[in-house]
Amino acid sequence: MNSDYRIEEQDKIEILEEKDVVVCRQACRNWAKRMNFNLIDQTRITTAVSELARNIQEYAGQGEVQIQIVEKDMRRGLRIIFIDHGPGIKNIKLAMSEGWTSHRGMGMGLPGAKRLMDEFALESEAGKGTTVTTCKWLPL
Amino acid sequence: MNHSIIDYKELRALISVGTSIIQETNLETICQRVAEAVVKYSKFQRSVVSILEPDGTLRRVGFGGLTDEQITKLKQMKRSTMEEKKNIFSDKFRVGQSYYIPHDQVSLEGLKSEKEYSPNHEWHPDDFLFIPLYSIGGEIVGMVSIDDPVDGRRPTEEGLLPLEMLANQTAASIENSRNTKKLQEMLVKLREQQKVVMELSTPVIRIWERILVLPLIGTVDSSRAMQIMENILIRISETESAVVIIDITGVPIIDTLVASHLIKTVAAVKLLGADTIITGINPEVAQTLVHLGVDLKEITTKANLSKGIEAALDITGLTVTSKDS
Ligand SMILES: Nc1ncnc2c1ncn2[C@@H]1O[C@H](COP(=O)(O)OP(=O)(O)OP(=O)(O)O)[C@@H](O)[C@H]1O
Ligand SMILES: [Mg+2]
Repeated sequence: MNSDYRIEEQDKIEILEEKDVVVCRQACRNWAKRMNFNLIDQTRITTAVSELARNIQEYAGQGEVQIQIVEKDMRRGLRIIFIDHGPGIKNIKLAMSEGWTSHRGMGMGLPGAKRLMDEFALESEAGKGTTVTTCKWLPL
Repeated sequence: MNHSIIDYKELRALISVGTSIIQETNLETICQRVAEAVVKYSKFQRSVVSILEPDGTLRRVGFGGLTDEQITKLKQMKRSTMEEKKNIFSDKFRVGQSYYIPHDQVSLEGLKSEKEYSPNHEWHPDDFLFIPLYSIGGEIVGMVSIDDPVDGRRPTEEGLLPLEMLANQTAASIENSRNTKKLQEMLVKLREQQKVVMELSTPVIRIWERILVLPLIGTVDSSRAMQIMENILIRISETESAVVIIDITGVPIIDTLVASHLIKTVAAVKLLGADTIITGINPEVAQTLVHLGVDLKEITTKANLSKGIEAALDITGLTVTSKDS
């Protein structure tokens, strides 16, 4: 599935505590800046990362975020993958719906992040963990 | 309700200077910019901004409307101490938050008294006018002395309001700058610095009677958000404020965590009978919020801090008018 993405460069950041969420989103903003995403896209990416990295920290306790500059069909993009081995999500459809939260959040993190990024795929298995793969493409 | 006339243009200009110095860490720069702003935007043509040093003396740091020779002379002059200035801080001389001492009440040994103070009189070249710089804790951190009004008239409470707001922001900036300096020294030793930085960088500034301003800077995580909310609520009840302005110009992004804390804060403030105005949401953040699906419609927002302050003055019953309209 990943074979059609050519990875130009990559790095990873571990999420162990709350401050890592900030470190991670700041790192992603810097990558986005470096790739010349405009200010709006930088803000969108940073906000999406903030949501997804915080979900890791909040629900799985810890995990990791992979940041990649990728190329696919002549386009360059910033691909960010959020991986944890936490409790997983039982009902993905429910979790992706606006306003649904198992805790006391707004329930906007997942659906919001999906709208902020160009690609968004959530895989999760109860008891095993969750992986969210996102990507933002540079305009042609 | 007291309907007072405030010079709108002056207010905006001074507030934006006040906003721009809040993140400035160099004390000299803060004082110099304030002194220059006073001369540029208010009706006073000379100003000196002094900082209270730990030894109790007032060091003159910022100068506006003075020649280089005058500045050199002032810098060489013996510093006055707070002790000597004690007599000035008497209710008799108080105008708003400032102190105005007509020339005939001043003598070298001290201050005469029992003279009638009547407003609208002409300003005398030997009159004194000071705006004390109060820290968030209510202590004096310095003062701005101003002189030589362009209209040659004595100051009025309303006329001084914009300058007093700038003075309050200046005091907060001075405090912030000192804290930052202390912090930088601590940083070398402390690994747990982050928490300290957070706590010290959430000042709730009382900018005017019943109006608080909280300039949010940096990252807001859950623990800090809680503490900010608590701070606001405590300060509102302490100061019996009617409006709190949360300026988020310095917040890089608003995600659902920050948004939900803002919403909760607004609701809690409402329970205390006060209003919240959020200012400084930049266009990228506003657009991203819409995409994120977060709705801040229930919250009063204004483009920038000075617009927010205008709205707050309106709520508290002070009317802001433009001089030239
Ligand atoms: N990595 C994860 N592991 C386990 N459960 C998760 C994970 N991410 C999300 N969830 C579940 O999906 C729900 C919805 O997540 P979403 O981020 O949309 O909202 P929220 O975190 O509850 O609130 P917020 O709007 O503050 O983000 C969560 O309440 C949680 O139950
Ligand atoms: Mg979430």
